Amino acid sequence: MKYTYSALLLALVLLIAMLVNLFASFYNGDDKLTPQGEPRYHFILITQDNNDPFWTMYKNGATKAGETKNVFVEFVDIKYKDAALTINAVEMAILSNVDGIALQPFDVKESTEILQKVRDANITAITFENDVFYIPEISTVGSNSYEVGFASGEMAAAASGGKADIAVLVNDPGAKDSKQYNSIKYQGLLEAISKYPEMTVSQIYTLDTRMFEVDKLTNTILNENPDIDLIICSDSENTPGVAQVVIDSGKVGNVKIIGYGAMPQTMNYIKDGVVYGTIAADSYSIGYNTVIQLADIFDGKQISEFYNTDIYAITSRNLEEYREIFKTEEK
Amino acid sequence: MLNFGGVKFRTKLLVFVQLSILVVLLASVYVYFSLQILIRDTTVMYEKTMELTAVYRKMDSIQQEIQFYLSTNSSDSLISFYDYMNEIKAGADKLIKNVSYTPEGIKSKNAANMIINYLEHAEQAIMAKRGRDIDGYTAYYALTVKENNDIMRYIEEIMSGELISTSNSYAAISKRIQFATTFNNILIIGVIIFVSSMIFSFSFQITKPITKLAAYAKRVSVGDFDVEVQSVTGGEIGVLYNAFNSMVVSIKKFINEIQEKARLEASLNEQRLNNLKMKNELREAELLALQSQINPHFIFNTINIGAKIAMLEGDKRTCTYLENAADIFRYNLRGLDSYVPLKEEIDNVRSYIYLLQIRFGESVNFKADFCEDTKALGIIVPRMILQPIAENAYIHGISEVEDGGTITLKVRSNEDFVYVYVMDNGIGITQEKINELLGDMGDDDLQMVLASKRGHTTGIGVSNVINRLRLYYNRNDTVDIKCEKGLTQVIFKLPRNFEKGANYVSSINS
Repeated sequence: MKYTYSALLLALVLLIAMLVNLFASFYNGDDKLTPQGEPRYHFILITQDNNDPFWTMYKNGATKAGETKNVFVEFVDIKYKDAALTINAVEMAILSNVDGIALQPFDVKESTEILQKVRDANITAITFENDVFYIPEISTVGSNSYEVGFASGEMAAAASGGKADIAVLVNDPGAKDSKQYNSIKYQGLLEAISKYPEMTVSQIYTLDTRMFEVDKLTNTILNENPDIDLIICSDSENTPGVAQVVIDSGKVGNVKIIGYGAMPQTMNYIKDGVVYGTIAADSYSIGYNTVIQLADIFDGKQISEFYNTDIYAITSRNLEEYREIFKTEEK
Repeated sequence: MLNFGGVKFRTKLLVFVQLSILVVLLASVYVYFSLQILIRDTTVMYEKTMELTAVYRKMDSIQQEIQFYLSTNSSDSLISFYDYMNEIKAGADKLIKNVSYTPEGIKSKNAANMIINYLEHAEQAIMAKRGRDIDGYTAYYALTVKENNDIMRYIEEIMSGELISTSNSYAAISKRIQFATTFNNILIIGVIIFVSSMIFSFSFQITKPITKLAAYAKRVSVGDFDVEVQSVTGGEIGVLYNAFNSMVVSIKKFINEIQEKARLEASLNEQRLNNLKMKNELREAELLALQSQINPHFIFNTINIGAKIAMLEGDKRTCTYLENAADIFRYNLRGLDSYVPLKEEIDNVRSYIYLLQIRFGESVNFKADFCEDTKALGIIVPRMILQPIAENAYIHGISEVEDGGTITLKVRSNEDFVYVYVMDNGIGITQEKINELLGDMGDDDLQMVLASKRGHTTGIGVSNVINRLRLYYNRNDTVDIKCEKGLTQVIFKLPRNFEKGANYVSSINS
């Protein structure tokens, strides 16, 4: 008899617990619908939607800064770095009456025009990961291209032992005056290898990221210039492509690769010894400071025109350490 | 743990039923709220897109109105343009007001702001047209076309995003529905099993003790009052058991009382029977006496007259004989219920023996041996106790001996008793016969009396005398019989100070 009542009481307790749980979820559901306080500003950050950990980290940093500054940060993803897509996204942002816009410039001319449009609409703008195009009165946050070039050069020297025929792959800036783009990074590179007389840059190749022609171009490099024994990439998405071609043509070890970015494939190639090392931007910091800088403008603070973030030189020696950093920061 | 043993069945049932109801009720509440949440989630999901869809449809229409107005200048389309504009603006304002700062929610706000900006541009296009600023309105018109396309695409994007997240949340919701359904089914099955098993258990709990009680009752009904009813603690059944128990005890007590009463009644009846027997004994004696005295008064008178005639004739011997005979008849006529002094009894014996001596001559001798205590002869005794003994001494003793014998009557006394001895030296009596005569009186004695010889007797047997004396004095040692050395003695031990006569008579008559 007492077992019966115990069973009944147990069922009751269970039901009550379930009901409480249900009510909890009921009201939690309500919480989701009510805005948790009006954010002070609404920023749109034009970002990309691909598997480069750069963007994941960037968004994490920006979101964190948005929470710190009580700013709503909206990410508008475009498929790839493209002038038309960026312009359209910015136009929509202007129409949306946002308070601030951050974007990664794609060239000098059109970027300047669209940023002018932003300013005309009384919207504050900032650029990030751009020190190649100087756009007047627009601040920028990101790694220093000269430093990137210099770090690449040093890594190349370390990889080759100070003796190499180097091929440099750069992305097509989509604008006429690519000189400016190349010059800063290139200056850094030259500066780094100038100490090694036996290191020479044989050729600079430009690459249109949209055309998926990295296979073809790499093959061309390897075939046309058999002397070349070191390739420096300046784009995170292309680095694994170059490494794959070198593997396919059986030149692992003969042709060394200095990569860019921290794509998971690149990290794996470093581990396997296909890629000697890579230079990666501190994208979390870039994202974080993009929002902080924008918010600071609204808060009436004077901000510097350049905000330089760190760069990471990743080789097989410190690979696991950086994997850890990128993984934890991804959270 | 709580002790449920002593709780009443009513309480148990009430608690059980209410708990069951509560379980089912809570389960229903659970289901109800689950459904409410599902409905709410679904409603919220559709409400969000509904407003957007409404705006989306109107965006298409308003662009057509703008185009129509710009090409035809129609006032109708202008009116409908403003109508649409107001409606869309209201919708956009509502969207901005209800903004939720989530990656999805912010897009509605963006769309609303875009629409407001677009409407401004559209209005400017209309104004330019009205102001006949051809360049102005064409430029604005181109802008509105682009913006309209962009906005519609943007809304489409939102809605497709919404659709994706909707399908995601639908998956979660359907999972929850499935869970709730499974839970309910299990609960319903559980409650059904539980309730039915409880009903079984309850009915067994109720019927089992009752069946047991019925078995007890059956045993009691066949007279087995020694049933040990195992007590049941508490509850209505417990009350029933206690009541049954006390009923059994009471029945047992009543039956014992009845048995006791019956026993008492039986002993009382026995006593009555004894009294009746005694009465019968007397009546029998009287009857026998009467039977032997066919019209005794007539015989007495006749004999008396005979005696007178003999006296007148001068025949003294005949006169004495007849007087003695008349005395015996007279003495007999007075009945057995009366009491007489011992002397009268002795005189009666003298008369009887005188008759015998005249009749049988020398063969019958008589000796009287009285003590000097004359008061001893004055004690009151029942009538007709000595004569039947003397008669017996002659018939069974002396008459059987050819040479005859002597009958001796001896009286002795002490302070308490008067002893009367009736002795003869006849044939004697066997010890078996003595034992038979001195044994308890019963039916056999009566039979013996009836079967005895009648020729020489007055009709009253020895055993009748013994029984009467025993009943009268209420003691067994009042008569003794001895037969030693050819001398047969019947000894009467009569208490001197015995005043029972009256009581005795009344008890016999009752």
